[in-house]
Amino acid sequence: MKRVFLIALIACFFVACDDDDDSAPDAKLFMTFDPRFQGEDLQLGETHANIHGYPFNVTDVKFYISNIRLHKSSGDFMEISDIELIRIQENKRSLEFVIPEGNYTGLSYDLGVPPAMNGTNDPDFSISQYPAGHPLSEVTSAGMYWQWASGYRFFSFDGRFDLEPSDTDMLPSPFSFHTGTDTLFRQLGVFQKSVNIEAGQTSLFSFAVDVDSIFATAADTINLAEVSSFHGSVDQMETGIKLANNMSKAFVLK
Amino acid sequence: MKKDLKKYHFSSRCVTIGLLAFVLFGWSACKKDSEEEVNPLCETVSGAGTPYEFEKPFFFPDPIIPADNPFTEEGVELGRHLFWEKNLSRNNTVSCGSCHFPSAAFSDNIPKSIGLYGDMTRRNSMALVNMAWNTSFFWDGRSHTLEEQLLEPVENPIEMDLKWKEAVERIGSDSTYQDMFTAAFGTPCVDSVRITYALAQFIRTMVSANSEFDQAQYGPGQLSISEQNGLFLFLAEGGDPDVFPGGQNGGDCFHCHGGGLVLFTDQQFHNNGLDSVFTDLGRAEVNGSPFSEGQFKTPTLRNIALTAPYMHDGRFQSLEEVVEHYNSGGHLSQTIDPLMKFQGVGLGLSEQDVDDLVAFLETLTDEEFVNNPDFQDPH
Repeated sequence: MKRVFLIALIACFFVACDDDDDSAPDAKLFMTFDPRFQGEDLQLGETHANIHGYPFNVTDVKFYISNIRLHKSSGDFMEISDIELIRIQENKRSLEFVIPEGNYTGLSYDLGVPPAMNGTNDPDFSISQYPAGHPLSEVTSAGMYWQWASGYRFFSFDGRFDLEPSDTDMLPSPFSFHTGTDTLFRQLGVFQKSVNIEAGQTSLFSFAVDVDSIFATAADTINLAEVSSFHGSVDQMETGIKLANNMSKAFVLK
Repeated sequence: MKKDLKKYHFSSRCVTIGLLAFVLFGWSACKKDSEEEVNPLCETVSGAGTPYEFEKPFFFPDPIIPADNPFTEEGVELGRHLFWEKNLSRNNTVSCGSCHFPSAAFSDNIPKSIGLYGDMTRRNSMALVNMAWNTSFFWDGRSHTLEEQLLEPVENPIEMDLKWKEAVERIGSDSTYQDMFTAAFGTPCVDSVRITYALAQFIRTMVSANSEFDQAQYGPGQLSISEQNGLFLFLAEGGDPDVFPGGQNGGDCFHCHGGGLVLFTDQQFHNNGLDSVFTDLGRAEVNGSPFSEGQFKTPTLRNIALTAPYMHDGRFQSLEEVVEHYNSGGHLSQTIDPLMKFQGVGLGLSEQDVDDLVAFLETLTDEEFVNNPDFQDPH
């Protein structure tokens, strides 16, 4: 009985401090994104050897995901967000959504900014149409707007490497791969996972962003000795397409 | 059975009393009592005056105004008086405006600001330009809101060296301020929250959006040939395309200073290659990451011609020196930003290109902003 008493007291203490507990607790969806290399979490700035044997590090990964949808067994889906920006260096690595209770079979999203939001070919487009706080606003888009190439960067992947490994930790050469433009927008398909989300519960979709895949998939390999920069130049679109394809395969549901 | 009932009875009353006692205890434990004992806080914080009509330039995004600190006419006016109030420094010699004055676009013109005793602060004074759109404050971004940032300089022993308790007493005992606080916040009560909130309201009204560049980009004006070339170089990728695929022989400024041509900052932290060995760790002091050593917040370029000297330590005297730094490629270090692509090689900008970039940067000066009577010293 003493224990019941104590629990009652503790519960009472918590309730007293809670401001808004009159409505039913929400059902939530939590998405996380963590860069991974060779199956392990990748720390930014940490030096590793890539598949070609060069030491390299990753200094930042930023990307837009759009059309985030929850799928049901009936084939229906429900959009939970039109656009989000993940910024690994700033630890903006997770997204939280309040969603209706229910059974869901999976989650899908696209990589990049959809043409309608990207301002592509829209002479009236202005970045200022997005208010501060919006992922596409100049205030909170973390420099992802890309005027000269038209629209936003979709996936920004930066780091350093060394083709002639030396004794120092200093990696002298930068690499910088920034995809964008409608051509490089990619749909990633549905990540299948059966979940039954009830009020007060949180369902977790945890994604790895495999850096291995960005550099090399069965189809395409990016060799830093040959190309270390892509910033949307039409002349380099072949590299851009390889990168966008590889990036779209880098997302793995853990 | 009877025994059981009795037992239940007893314990239920015990729980009821216990609950009552704990409700009271729990309630009182939720209050922030420690702060109040030291410095009693005022009841109403904000929004008691006349709503201030914030005029957002049409080509700017809607700013984020904290819900608990809406603008009022009276709050903004109080903020202006406090901004220029020397009594907020221990020896009554220094106000916010001492290191953030209009002719320098609300910064100053020395490498590192001088505090109330003549001692040098750690870093270059940052310009107060379009703070309503700013997302992190100080060169290392250690404050997330303007209100939070404003709590620091008054107590900083080099800058103003005044304890908030003393500051509140000084301001609160002044009858003019008592009237102004009543007008802005409903009662004459003064506390550090009200002081910083009024200051924040004032500083958010300091909007610069009417430079020669703005008149050309968003109005009927026109840039000179040299200024136009500077803008082109600003937005172009660095590097000779024959050597660096994708290069555009440009200045590559837009990556960090914004391709949107509105705020001229990406609000991020970068190591722009000033040094190979750091005497100031910058962002790393805040997030503890060795990977952030030597990173500093990208400042806006609006009114940049007025804010010399440049960089967090004021090492460059002129915009020419700044552009030449980037043109040189900068110094290699473990944390240098990959966007600084040309160490040892340089961007390869010609003398004319450097002049044109500087000419463009000078078009970002907004005379109307720095001369706005609403921002000047009212005392």
